[in-house]
Amino acid sequence: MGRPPQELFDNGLALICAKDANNHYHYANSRFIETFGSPDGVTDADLFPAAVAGRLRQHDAQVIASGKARLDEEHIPIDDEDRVYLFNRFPIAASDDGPVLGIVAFEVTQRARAEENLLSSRALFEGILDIAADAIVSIDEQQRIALFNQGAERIFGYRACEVLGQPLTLLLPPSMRPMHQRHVEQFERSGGAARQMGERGGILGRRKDGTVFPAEASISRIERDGRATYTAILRDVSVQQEAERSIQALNIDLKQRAAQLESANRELEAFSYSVSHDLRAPLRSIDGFSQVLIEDFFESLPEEARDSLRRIRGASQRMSQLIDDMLTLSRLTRGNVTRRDIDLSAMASAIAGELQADQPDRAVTFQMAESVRAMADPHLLDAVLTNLLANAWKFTSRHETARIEFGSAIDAKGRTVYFVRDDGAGFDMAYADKLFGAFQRLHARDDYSGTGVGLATVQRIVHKHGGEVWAESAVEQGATFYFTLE
Amino acid sequence: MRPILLVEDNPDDEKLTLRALAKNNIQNEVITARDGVEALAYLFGDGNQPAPAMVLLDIKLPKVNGIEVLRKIRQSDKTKFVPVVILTSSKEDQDLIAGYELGANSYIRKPVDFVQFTEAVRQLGLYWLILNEPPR
Repeated sequence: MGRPPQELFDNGLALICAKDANNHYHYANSRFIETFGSPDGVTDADLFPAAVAGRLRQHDAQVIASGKARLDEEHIPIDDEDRVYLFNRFPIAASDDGPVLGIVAFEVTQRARAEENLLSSRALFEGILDIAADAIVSIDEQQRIALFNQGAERIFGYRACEVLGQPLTLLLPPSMRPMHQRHVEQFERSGGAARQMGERGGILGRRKDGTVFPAEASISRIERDGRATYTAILRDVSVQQEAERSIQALNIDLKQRAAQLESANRELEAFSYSVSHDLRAPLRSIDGFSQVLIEDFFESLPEEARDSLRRIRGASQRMSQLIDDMLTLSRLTRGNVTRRDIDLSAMASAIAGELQADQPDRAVTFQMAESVRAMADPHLLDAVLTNLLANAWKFTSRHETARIEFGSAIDAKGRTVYFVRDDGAGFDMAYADKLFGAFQRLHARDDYSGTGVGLATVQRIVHKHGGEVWAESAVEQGATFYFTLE
Repeated sequence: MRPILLVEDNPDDEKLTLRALAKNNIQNEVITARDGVEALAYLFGDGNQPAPAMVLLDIKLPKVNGIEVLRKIRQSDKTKFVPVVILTSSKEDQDLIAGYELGANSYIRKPVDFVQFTEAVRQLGLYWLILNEPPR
């Protein structure tokens, strides 16, 4: 055989060179020169950045010292781009000052990148597998477990190393095994790639400690090299089912309570009805026959007896008023709140007009803010304003002149606060907590009439609207009643 | 003068109503029925009595209640134009509505104050027995 033709070195993709022990190049083929530049009379330190040159030199030295060939991936930047070359270094028998190291190199940048991508996507995939809360289990064609993620470890209680290679039936309660077999066969026949299972329950799993739990699963099939791998993503729904059961139980309980409440309400209504009818009848008799005595025996009755009869009549009429107020309170607060956009200013003015018409002799100035509106039950709000304005009217009655104000303002919490203010008798704030109790009165009956139900009614209505009611006052300094409506 | 039919189960209320009628010089005879059955027996019985000039009707009655009595009164040609004044303790919406729906002429809630009650009876007598012109 003759000498190798020069084309053998120059026309292939390989970069070929030879170096001596001092890192001087003795030969470089044209591919090498094209790629890295001519090494004639220079060293690696001239051809490459310092860090690259240092690494190349280090690998060179190892081959020279050991006398053994080696393969290395070398990262060498060209035009700022990282290229990867596979360097095959091998020793050459030394002659005087001749080369001692041969290098044949190929660029493998693309393959190296592909490998890197593969590694990082595998890391990503494994990360996803591990953080998944669901159990992810793959089985091979022999129904043996091939993959078992951390979610599966948590749900089933097995470590992956305990189950890999074991039959899948390990994870199924015995009752599920025939069903599982049918599923597998159906899946194989159907040829589909994925399906849901156990959407309506019915899939059961078995933990390491033997307990059985309800699950939902979806299954996919991947075929590779003619072999199918099944992967199941499985969720433990025992907590969900437990929650659903307790919600159902609560619902049933709630319905029963609602029914009880409804029947209690009906009883209350029947009670109210009979109170209004039955309690008033004897009061009519007491009042009526007392009046009969006064009319028929007026002359023969001593003044003390007449006074007693008048007191009996007064008491029966007050009791009648109490019954009426109580019934009104219960009727107003029994129904639902039907909210509508209402003009409170107009409502308050109408009530003020009625008060004035009832007692035209009184000198009362009404100051009504305009365009005060609210989303509230019109019927109930009319009762609130009627009570508050009638109270203001009543508790200013001992003054020559009076001033009653209605308006609204925005408070620090951004709520609309409505108010009714008067400059009348007022009350001692020490008793403010008693103000809204039913049948509570802060003034002597001889001074101001009333049964003490009005403010209790106001409070109930405001509370039904999700609002608050309170008052500010001082004796003979007037009173202001505030309320909010959520 | 045709009689007044007072349908009232409470003897005290009956006595007080009779007194109020007398006090106001209402001269009509007053027939008292103490439950719904007695009222219907008087109105539609064999006695062939004339239709009353006015019926004062309580609602809550033993056996047959006042609303039922009112319905029968309005269904009969003999009594359909007779003025019926419901005189009761109740001011429940359901009773008011049932009363007016069945054609009651007035609905009065008996005041506890007997002076007021007497005045109410006076006005009723004046209006329904004297001022009001019934069809012949």
